[in-house]
Amino acid sequence: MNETIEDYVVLKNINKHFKDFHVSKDVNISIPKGKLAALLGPSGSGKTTILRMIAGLENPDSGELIINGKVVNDIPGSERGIGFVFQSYALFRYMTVYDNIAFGLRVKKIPESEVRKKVKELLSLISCG
Amino acid sequence: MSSRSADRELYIHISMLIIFAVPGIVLATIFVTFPFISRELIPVFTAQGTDEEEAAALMGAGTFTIFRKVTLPHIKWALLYGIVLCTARAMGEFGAVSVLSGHLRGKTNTLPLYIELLYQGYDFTGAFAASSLLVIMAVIVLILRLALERKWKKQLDIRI
Repeated sequence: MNETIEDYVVLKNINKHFKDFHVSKDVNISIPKGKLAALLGPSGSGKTTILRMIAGLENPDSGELIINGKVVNDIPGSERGIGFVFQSYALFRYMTVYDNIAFGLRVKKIPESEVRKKVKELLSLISCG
Repeated sequence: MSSRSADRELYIHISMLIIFAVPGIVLATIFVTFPFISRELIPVFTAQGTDEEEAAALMGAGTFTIFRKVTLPHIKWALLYGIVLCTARAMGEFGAVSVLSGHLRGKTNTLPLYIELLYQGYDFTGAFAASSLLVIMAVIVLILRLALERKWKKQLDIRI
């Protein structure tokens, strides 16, 4: 597998078992920087598993996950610099739209004035003033 | 040989802090009422899935924050309902508490145990008076339960 410095996300010999089922077998993927990639495959072929491993929601049994040149196997998902969109959207049902957008910012302890600015900015982006 | 008897003394001493004392009553009551909570909460947990908690974790939220802001609002009514059921069960608990409490008046006597005490002592008036107390509490719990059921149903109806 030829990786260049341009490769942003690299999976090296990733293996994952769910109980006895070998979901990911020696997976090697290199995704270059600034590109849009798509994983295609039939249901149950392990696409979501790979995405979840990149995001940090699952841990591979063996192999390396490399993001921007750094091995991130032991780094929690929130610190990998990754945004993850769930198939079900995973919107926080019991929070307002404002609180949904502000959630990630508030977790990072950003001051409320900054949060308000950022949320208003994002809402105007989708014309939801 | 002496260390073994010293160990046994320590064990008995610690056990006495639990059994024949309030912690023992609390433990016995938790044991018999736990299924009421789990029976209400497990279906709710299963139905809601883990996506929202995972999304919150990926944004960097700590465990307690996730529990407080994401999980708790989901299970609020189921939890309250389970608590009311637990209360009803705990009020009527006799057997397990009877074994563990030691029936020390003023310290480890519960209302059901006290009623038995009065009845065994031929104080029927006292026993019936104390029983009426239990009945009144049971009615209050019933009303609470009905109110919560209504609120819970409302919450289910406005779910996305």
